Amino acid sequence: MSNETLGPEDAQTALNEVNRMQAAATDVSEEPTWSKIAVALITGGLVATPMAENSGSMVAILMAGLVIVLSTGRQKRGASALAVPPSKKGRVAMVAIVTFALSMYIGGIVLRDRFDLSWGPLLAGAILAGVITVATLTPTSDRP
Amino acid sequence: MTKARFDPVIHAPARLQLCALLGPLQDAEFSVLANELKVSDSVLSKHIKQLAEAGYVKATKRKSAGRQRTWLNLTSKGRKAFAGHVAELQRLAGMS
Repeated sequence: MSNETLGPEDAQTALNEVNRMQAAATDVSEEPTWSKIAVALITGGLVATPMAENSGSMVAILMAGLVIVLSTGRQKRGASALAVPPSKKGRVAMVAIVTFALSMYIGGIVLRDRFDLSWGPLLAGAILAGVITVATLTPTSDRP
Repeated sequence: MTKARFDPVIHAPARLQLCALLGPLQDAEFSVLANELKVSDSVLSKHIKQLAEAGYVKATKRKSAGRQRTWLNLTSKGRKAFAGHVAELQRLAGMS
């Protein structure tokens, strides 16, 4: 079949099928709840590392944990979502989360160094973990 | 901006479904794709071969839990062709 013999109805049917399969792809690559919570806690932990005496080792351990959690989920599901979401909405959300995580990291250090609050990074990490958990567990209608 | 272009390699229903399924994914395992598309392994292999020959799909074999598994992903050429094909379908659908 060429595009010259393809009518509007056929094209619409094909588009509906594309949408159905893209929704199926989103479902099949969906991280399980335990994985979402683990990623949120590990990310929060990374932001809280300036509080630890040996922050270098903590970062290494948490990064290894993150890799294990993500690769275990990927192997179990047999699929992994694109690192950069295909939809504009998804990309904007990702940039917003990275910006928020960085501001929490800097905020934690500022609390520790400027205001002498040693638990500042821990507070920042806890807030970030909470926000990521809520954001990733909230159902979304965002489909590619 | 994506250039609308009808692609006969992608347009066959099973291959269109396969590209649509792989589109939002980094990669996916062969058995997951066969299950989602509800086709036999041999049928899926045939379509993957055609897409791979066009340079649209890349297969990678990896060992997991003692078993050899095939993971597939859309190449950047495949993503571009798929986006162009979908744009052409949208153009045609809008003609009604």
